[in-house]
Formats: sequence, structure tokens, C-alpha cells
Amino acid sequence: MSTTSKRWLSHFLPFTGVAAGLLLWWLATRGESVLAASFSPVETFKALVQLIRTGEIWPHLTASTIRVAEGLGLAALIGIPLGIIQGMNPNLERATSILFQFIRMISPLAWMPIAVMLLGIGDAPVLFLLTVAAVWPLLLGTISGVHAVDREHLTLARSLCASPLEIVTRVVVPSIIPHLLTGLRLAMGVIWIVLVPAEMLGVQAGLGYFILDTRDRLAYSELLAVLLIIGAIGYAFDAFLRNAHQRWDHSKH
Amino acid sequence: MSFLPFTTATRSSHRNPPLLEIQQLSASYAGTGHPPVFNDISLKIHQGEVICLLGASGCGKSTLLRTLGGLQPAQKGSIFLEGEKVRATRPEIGFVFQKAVLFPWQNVRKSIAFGLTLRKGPRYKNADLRKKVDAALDDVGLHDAGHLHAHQLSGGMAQRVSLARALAREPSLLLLDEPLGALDAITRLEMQKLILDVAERHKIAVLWVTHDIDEALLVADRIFLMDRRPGRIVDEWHVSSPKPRFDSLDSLLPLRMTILSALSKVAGALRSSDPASLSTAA
Repeated sequence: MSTTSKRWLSHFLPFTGVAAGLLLWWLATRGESVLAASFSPVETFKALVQLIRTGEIWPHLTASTIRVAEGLGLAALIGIPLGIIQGMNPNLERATSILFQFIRMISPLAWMPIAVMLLGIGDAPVLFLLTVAAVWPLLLGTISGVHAVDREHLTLARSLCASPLEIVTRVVVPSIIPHLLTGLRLAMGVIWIVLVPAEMLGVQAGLGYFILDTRDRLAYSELLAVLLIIGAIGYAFDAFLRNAHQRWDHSKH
Repeated sequence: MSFLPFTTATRSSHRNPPLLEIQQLSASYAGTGHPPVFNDISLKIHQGEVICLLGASGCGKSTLLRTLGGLQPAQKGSIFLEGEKVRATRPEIGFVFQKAVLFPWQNVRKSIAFGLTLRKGPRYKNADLRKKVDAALDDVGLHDAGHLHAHQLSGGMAQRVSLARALAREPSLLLLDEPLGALDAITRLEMQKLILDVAERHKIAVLWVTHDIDEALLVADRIFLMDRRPGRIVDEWHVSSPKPRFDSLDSLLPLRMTILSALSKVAGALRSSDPASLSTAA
């Protein structure tokens, strides 16, 4: 096989998986039952077009996107500086190692009742859950990034009389950007997964809320359409960050 | 023996107060409590002087250099720069290491500008910064390479950038830690000439760590020989032959023999006293 056709094949193969998935979906929802038919791909895509055309989905989409941005931003604001401080202080890192690994293993969703008790119903507990979910990949990514900083780079900066703050902002931070992008990508993945259940916490808009809403209205084709939207947006975010990561790598090599 | 282009040092010919003076300096690799890497070293460096520190690997040359420059603390003794005690890194002291240590996210211009935009030491902005970087690039013959990144540079070019970065801060003393150790013979000769030229032009004193006798003979005004375990200075020679010395290599031969025999004594002392140390002293 020639290399061009191999390359063509490798680009084409992922789509065969998508096609197979669609086929299975279609086979599973075929039949006499009306209920099954409302889950069929055809109905789902019809509902999708409808949701977009009527604009019904937009307020939910924007509400969710804003929440994700806020959660990710808050997690970055906490996780990155904390990760830098930890990475540069081995003793502090050792002191917190058990505590952090312990808390990290608690599913963000397990915090739900506590979040509601502390913060009430509404946007605040949702933001809390998203931040709890996203902070770990960012924190741990930052720490491993700081560990990977070339010691010689630090020595050189010191030889130029750089202050500790200058060493952090001008040597450590640029060094750890690839690690940060990886952490951001992982955080994005987990935040997007936690978003939907978190939005079932009595908020008035959002994709999670909308799923419950379609269920209550028995609008199953709309429900599946929302699932498609969730998957598509998650995939797009991930692809964007993956691309940013590769671009950063290419700019250096 | 006055016809020889060198003398065994007995006194310093300089009258001015020294640029750098160290007194009974000792240091270890990792703070106090460990045996000293070098012990009881005293020396003076005068303005514009080129001094080579010659010695085997592991004799503490690099540690001495790092201690002198304030990169690591001394165990005992003191360091004076123009009469002032050195406790931390100083803008008047520039470093060039064996590796060029260029940040991969910066091109050549940015690498040089890095040292000119820190709070301590010379600080420039905009047009002044551009001018200073241009001047530093000219100094090392890299005016066309400003846009290149570290991975696009040869070893010699990278080391030129590293030198330019140190020079741009207008140091009065340059500490070179085997700066040409990783380069091929021809590039080494070019770089030796370049370093001598810029040091002379800017009246910079140079303390140059090397393990290459010929390098020391070609560049140094004075050569120190260091013994190891613990590192101490065992010999000192003045080289008065004018630079560049490529035209008068023959005249350097007697000194080369003298240094070689001193080296063999250092090695011999090691062998007779402690046979195990030869295999562990790598």
C-alpha cells in the first residue's frame, strides 16, 4: 500500500467508527414501538434541527458554556498558583501529598449535598462542583510541570540576578505551558462530564437542566439531540486544546 | 631565565586594588557538614586580567566559580568585589556555563534581552533595549541570527548567544565555566579569540575554568593549577607573551612542559597516597 493511500485511510478510519455507531443506533431503535421510534436517529436529527432553528437551545447552551468558563477559570486561578508554590517547595508538597490525593479521590458529585447545604440552590453550588472537579488536573499538571523545569534554566536566571518572583514569572511559567495545556485539557474533559449532573441541582437553564426538562415533557428525540450537542461541544473543546498544545510544541521544535 | 615568556609568580605586578579578592575560601557541594570541595583558596583578580583555572574534573573548579559568583554559599572565607563583600549574585559578575542554556521559547534577541529586563542590573526599554541587543549581537558576530531559536543554532552559535547575554549586562568580571568544553577544535579557537577580543574591548576581567592546557596557554595572563580532594591552588604562572599567541607558539612550549610536569605531580600524589581515589574521582 502506498503512503498516500495509507494516510488517506488513517484519516478515513475514524469516520467508519462514527458510521458504525449510527448504524447500531438505527438498528436498535427500529421496530414497531412508538417509544423506540422517538429515539431513532432520524427523529433525533429532526429535533436537533428544530432546536437550533427555533433557538430554544441557545439560552441553555450559553448558560452551560459560561458555567464551564467560570469553573475552569476559577480552578485555574486556584490550581495553577498553588501548583507553582507546591512544585517549588518540596516540603510543602510532601506535607499535603496525602491530604490532596485523598480529597482528589472523592467524586465531585459526592460533594453535591454538602454544596447545596452550604451554598443553597442555584448557580453557586454548580460552580463549586465544577471547580472541585477541574482543580485537580490543573494543580497536578502544574506541579509536574514545575518538577520538569530544567535546573540549569533556574541557575542561569539566578546568575543574571533574577529575583524569585522573576524566576517564577519569566522562567517557570513559560516552561510549564505545555503541562498547563495538558492539565487544561484534562480539566475541560472532567468539567464537561460533571456539568450535566451538576446542572440538575435546581438551576433554571443549562444543558443538564434541559435534559431533565425534555424527560419531563417526554420529548425523547429532543433529549437525544441534547446528548448529541453535549458530545459535539465536548469534542470541539478537546480538539481545540489539543491543537493549541501541538501548536505550542511546534513553535519550539 | 628572563628570556622566557613566563615567570613563576612571586608577586603581583598590579598596584591598583584588585577587582575581586577572595580570602581563605572554602565550600562544599551541599552546605555545611559535608567535606569541603575546595579549601582555603585565596586569590586576587585585577581589572581586565584573564585568568585560567586549570585542573582535573572534580577538583572543585566549577564549585569555586559558582561560589565566587554568589550562586552558592561559601563555608568559610570571604569574597570582595571592588572592596565590597559578595553575598549573592551581582550584576557586575557575568556567567557563561558549559551549556549555552537558552530558553527554548525565546529567539536569540529575546534571550539577550532577558538579561536586560530584570529588576536588578542594567534595565532597558524599547529603542534602548533594541540598541543594546544589537550591540551585543555585533560583539559576538551574530547580527543576522537574532530571529533564530535555540534549536536552530550550532553549539558554537549558541555559546555566542550565551556570551552576548552576559556581555550585554556590562559585567566587570566574566566567569566562564568550561565554556568551550563541548565544541570542536576549530570552533574553540574562534571562540577563544572572540572572548579575548570582547574582554579586551570592554576591559572585562575573565576567570576561565578549563581542563585544556593549550587553551589556558593561549588565553591566560595568569594560570592557576588546582589539585583535588580538597581542591586547592598548588601552582601559579604568569604568561607575559603578547596575544594573540598563534604566531609565537614555540615560545609557549617551555611553560607547557612546566605545567605538564606540575600536573603529573598532582596525579602522582594522588596515586601514591590513595590508589582507590583514581577510580572514584571521575
